[in-house]
Amino acid sequence: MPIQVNLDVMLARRKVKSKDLAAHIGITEANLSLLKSGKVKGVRFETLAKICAYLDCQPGDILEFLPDEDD
Amino acid sequence: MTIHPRFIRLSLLLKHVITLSLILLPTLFAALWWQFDWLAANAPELNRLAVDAQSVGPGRRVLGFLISMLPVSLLLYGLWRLREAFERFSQGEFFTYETITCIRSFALMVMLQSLMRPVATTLLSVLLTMSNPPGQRTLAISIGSGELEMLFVGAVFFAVAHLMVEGRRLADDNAQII
Repeated sequence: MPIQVNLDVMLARRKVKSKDLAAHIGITEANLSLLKSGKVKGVRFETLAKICAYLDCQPGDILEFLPDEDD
Repeated sequence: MTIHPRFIRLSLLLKHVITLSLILLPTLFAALWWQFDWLAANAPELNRLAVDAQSVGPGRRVLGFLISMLPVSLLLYGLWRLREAFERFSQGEFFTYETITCIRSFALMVMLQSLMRPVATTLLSVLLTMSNPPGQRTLAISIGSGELEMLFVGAVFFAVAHLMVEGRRLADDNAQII
């Protein structure tokens, strides 16, 4: 998957607990954990907007495109 | 989601009815072929073929039973899958992938058995009249409105179940988008 999720990095930088972010977005901690590990098929704009608002960051701080070596 | 107790009772009742059918259907067929003289005299299909019951020996009776079981066994498998669906309904599993595929299998088997029935009838006509004198041997091919109705009903069930499978797949996909 060439999209890397750097949510855990942003959480550490902002010193925010996963539990608090999950509560703010309105998703379960289990789902947030899946999101952090990139084991989801997609992220809704609505979810992304809430994360960015809570962590005071841009989508690019959370998601990163890592091209495959073949590309 | 809470399941209405009446629905659980209905699902369990239907499950037991299907279980009973699964036992009775092959038993009834075996009993009818066991009493082949009575069957030859009373079954309209066999009457039309002018089957001489005395000339049909035990070997051909067993073969006849097996041929007649070809469409029935498909239906039995379909009923077995439908039974599984009702069992899952009674446990509160409504739109799970497994439950829907059970209904789809049932629909597929209803369709297949309606296609297999004319084949079995043709094979039976050859088997039961092969010892008749020349000129009285029959190769009967018949497709009745009953088979077509079953095919249509099966096709409708299959299409609906297939849509439900696709819906389930979409819902699963959607669940993986956070």
